[in-house]
Amino acid sequence: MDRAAYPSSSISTSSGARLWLRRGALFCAGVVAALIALEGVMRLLPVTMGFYRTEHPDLWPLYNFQSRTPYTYSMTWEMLYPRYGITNNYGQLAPFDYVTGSRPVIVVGDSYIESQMNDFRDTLQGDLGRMMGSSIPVYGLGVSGLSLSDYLALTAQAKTDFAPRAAVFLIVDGDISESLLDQVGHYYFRATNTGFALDFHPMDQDPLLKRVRYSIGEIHLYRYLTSNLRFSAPDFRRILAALKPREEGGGSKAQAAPAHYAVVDHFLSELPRHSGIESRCIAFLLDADRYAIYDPRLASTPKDEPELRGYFVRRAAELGYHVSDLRPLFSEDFAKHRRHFDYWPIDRHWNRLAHRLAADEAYRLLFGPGDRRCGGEAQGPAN
Amino acid sequence: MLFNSYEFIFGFLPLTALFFFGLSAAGQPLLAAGWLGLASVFFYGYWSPPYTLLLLGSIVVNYVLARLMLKARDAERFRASRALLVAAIAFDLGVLAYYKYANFFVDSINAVAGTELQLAKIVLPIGISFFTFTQIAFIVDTYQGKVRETNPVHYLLFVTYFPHLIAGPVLHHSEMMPQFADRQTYRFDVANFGIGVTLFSIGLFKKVILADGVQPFVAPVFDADLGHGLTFFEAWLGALAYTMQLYFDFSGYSDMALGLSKMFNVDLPLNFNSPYKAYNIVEFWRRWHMTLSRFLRDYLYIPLGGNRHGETRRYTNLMTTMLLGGLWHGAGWTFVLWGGLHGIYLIINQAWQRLRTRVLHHDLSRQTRFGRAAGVAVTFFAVVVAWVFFRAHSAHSAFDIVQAMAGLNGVVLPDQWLPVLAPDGAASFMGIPFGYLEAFGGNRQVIWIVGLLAIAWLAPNSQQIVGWGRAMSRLRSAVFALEWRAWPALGVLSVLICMLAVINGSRGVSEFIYFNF
Repeated sequence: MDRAAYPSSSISTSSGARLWLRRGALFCAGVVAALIALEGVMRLLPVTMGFYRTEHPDLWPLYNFQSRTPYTYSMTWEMLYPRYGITNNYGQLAPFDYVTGSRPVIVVGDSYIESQMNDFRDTLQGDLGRMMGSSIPVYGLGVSGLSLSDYLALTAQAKTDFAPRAAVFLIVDGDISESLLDQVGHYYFRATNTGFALDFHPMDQDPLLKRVRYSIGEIHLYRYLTSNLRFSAPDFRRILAALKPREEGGGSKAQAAPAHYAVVDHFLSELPRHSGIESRCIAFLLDADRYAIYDPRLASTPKDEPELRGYFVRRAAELGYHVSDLRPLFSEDFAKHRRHFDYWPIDRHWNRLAHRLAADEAYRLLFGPGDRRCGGEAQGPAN
Repeated sequence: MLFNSYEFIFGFLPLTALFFFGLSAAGQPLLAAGWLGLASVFFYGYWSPPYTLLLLGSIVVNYVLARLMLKARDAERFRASRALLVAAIAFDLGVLAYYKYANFFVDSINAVAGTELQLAKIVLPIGISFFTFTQIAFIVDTYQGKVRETNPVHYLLFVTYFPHLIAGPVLHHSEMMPQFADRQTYRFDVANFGIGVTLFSIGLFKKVILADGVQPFVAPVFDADLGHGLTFFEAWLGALAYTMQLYFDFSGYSDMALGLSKMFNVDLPLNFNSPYKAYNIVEFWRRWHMTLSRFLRDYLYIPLGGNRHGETRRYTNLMTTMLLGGLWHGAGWTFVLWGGLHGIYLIINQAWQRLRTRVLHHDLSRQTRFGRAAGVAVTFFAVVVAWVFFRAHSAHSAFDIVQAMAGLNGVVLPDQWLPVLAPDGAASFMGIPFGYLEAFGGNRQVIWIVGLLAIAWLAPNSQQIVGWGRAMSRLRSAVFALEWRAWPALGVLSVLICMLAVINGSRGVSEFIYFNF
C-alpha cells in the first residue's frame, strides 16, 4: 500500500501514537524491572512472612495460624527486631506442640499475648511456664485483634481440647467496647431481649479467593508493603461514608456506655461456664497507657472509658476473680529504673520487661506462696 | 501540601505537569505559566486557605509598588521612588514582624518589664520568611534599576512557584523571571524531566530514609527535658543525630525542589554543597543554605558596609548579619544565640586568617591533608554545638545539653556495651562506669550516625550524582537523551518514588524542619 496516498496529518497522528505507545512500553518495562529487582532484594531481608489464618476456620481462634508453618516477623520499614519460627500444631507461636487434655494454665489475649515481636522465652506465657516448672504446661492463646467476645469463644474451645486448670487474661484498651462490633472473622456480642448472644461473622471462604490470597501473600514485596508498612489501598466507600453527615445514634460504635457495662457483666458471669475454670483460678491483668507513664503529654485517648475499666476491676473482684491493674506496677518500675515496657516510640506492644513483670504478677495472683488452689506447685519467679 | 505526601506525588504533581505540558504543546506559554501560578497558589492554600489571601495580598502590594517605582524612575522622580521603596520594605517587614515576631516581642517585653501584656496566639503563615525575602530583593533591585521583566503572570509565578514557595531556595528575580519568559521553558524535555525526577528521588530518599530514619534518636535528648540527668554520650549522640537529621531533611527538601523545578525546565539555584565537608566556618556558610547566605550578604552585610570600613566594623557587620540571620529562622532567643554563636565563629575565623597571613605569613591557598582534616573536624564540632541552640526548646535546655556534652554531668557508658567492653563483669571500662542511659537509642543509633556521617563526608552530593553544570550534558547523552534508556529509567524511578512515598506514609505526617521558618 502506498503510504504517500494518505494525508500527512493521519500519518503524523499514527506515528505520534506509535511513538507514545513505544514510550509507554519502555516505561512499563522499567517499572517491571524495578519491581522484580525489589522483590529480589526483599527476599534477602527479614520481611514479615507467613501468618496465614488457620486451615480450621471453625476452630478459630484456638487454632490461630496455619499449623507448622514457618514465619518471619519484623517491625516497620527498617525491619527491626526480626523473629523467625514455626507455628505449632495449633498455629500458635510456641516452640512446642500443645497436648490435648493436658490441663494447662492458659494465657489468653490479643496481639500482646500472640507476641510476634518477642521470642517465646520473653513472653508472659514463656516466663510463667518457667516458673511453673515442667509439671504444669502453660499455653499461650493469643490472637491479634481479639476482644472479650472472642475470649469467651476461645476459652470454650480450649475447655474442650485442654480442660485448663487456670487462666490468665490480659485485658487491653478496647477489649470491652470492641466486643460489640460486628467485624468480619470475629465473634461479637449481639444484643438480644434477654441479654447478649455470642455470634460469629464468618469470613469469605471462597477456595479460589483463598488460593489467590495465599499466592499474593508469598510475594515478599507485597508483604513488605502490607505487613511492614501497613499499606492498604484507599477505601473509597469509607471515604465517601465519612463525607456524609452522620446519623444520630446510628452505628455500633455509638452504642451507649450502658451496653459496655452490660457486656462486662455478661462476660464475667459467662466465663466460668465457657472455660470450665472457677473464677478463683482466673486472673485478669489490665494493661496501662504506658506512654502516659513515660510522659503525661503522650497520653492517648482511651477506647474503653476509665470508669468502664474501673467497673471491670470492681465487678471481677466481687465475683471472685483475681484482678490486677498493671498501671501502678509499671509506674513504680519506671520511676525506679526509667526503663520502657514496649518498643517505644514505634510500637506499643510489650517488650520482654513488661512480659516479665506481668508474669510475676500473674504468678503472684494465682500461685502465691503456699497457694495450691489452682494446682500450682511451682518453682516460683526466677528473680 | 508536603512534597512527600500521597496527595502531592499522586495527585497535585501529575495533574499540574499534565496541564502545563498540554498548554505548552498547544502553543500557549502564557496560559501554561498562569496555570503553574494558579496551581502554586492552590498548593499553598491547601495548607491554610485563609493565608492564601495574605500571600496574594503581599504579591499585589509589592508588584504595584514596584511598577509605580519603575514609573517614578522613568520620570526621574527619585524621591518618590525612594519613598515607594521605604513603603514597600516597611510593608514587607511589618507583615513579617506581625506574623512571625509579635508574640516573641510581647513575651520578651513581659519577661524584661514584668508586665502581663496579652496577644492572641498568631499562627505562623508557612513560608512567610521565604516569600517576603524574595520580594524584598525584587523591590530593592527595582529601586536600583536592575529589574527589567515585569510581566504580572511571571511575577506571580516567581513568588508563588510551588517548588520553592514553602522552604526555599530563596530566589532572585534575575535568575527566575528570564526563565519564565523563555519559550524554551514551555516544552516537554525528557532529559530535563528525567534529571528532575532523579533529583526528586534523591531528595525524597534523603528525607524519608535518612532524615526520618535518624529522627527517633533526637527527641529523647531534646524533648524529654532530662536536664542534668543527661550524660556525655547521650548528649553527644543526640546532638549528632540532630545534626544529621537537619542536614538530610533540609538538603533533601532542596533537592526535591530543584528536581521538581527541573521537570518544568526551570533551573533553581543550588542550596547545598556538602556543608559538613567545609574546612572552616566561612566555607561552611558558602555550602549551607547557600541562597540565604547570598541574600544576607547582598542585602544586609554589604549594605551595612561589609569589609570596607576596617576590621572592627567588619566584625560588627558580621555579628549583626548573623544575629539577624538567626532571628530570621525563628522568633526565639535560641535562634538569636545560634546566630550569635556563628557570628563569633566567623569573627574568630576571619581574625585567625588575618593572623596567619599578616603575622605568620602563611599561604592560605596551600593546605596539607592533615590541616584540611583538622579544619573539617573543628568546623564540624563548632557547627554541632551551635545546632544544639537551634533545636533546643529554650536557652536553659540548650545550656543543659551543652553542659552534658562538656562532660560536666558525668560520663557513663551504656550498659548494652558491658558484655563487649567488660566481659569479666567489671563495673567500669577504663575508669568509666556503665549504667542505663535513658536517652540512648542503642547500637542502632551509633550505626545510624556513623553511616550518615560517612555519607555526609565521603559520598558525592546530589548535584554531583546527577552531574550538575558541565557534566550534565554528558549525563544527558549517557542516560536521558537516548529514549530507549530515558523511559525505562523513568519507570524505575517512578517505582522508587512510590516505594518511598509508602514508607513515608507508614509513619504518618512527617513535615520538613524548615517549614517552621
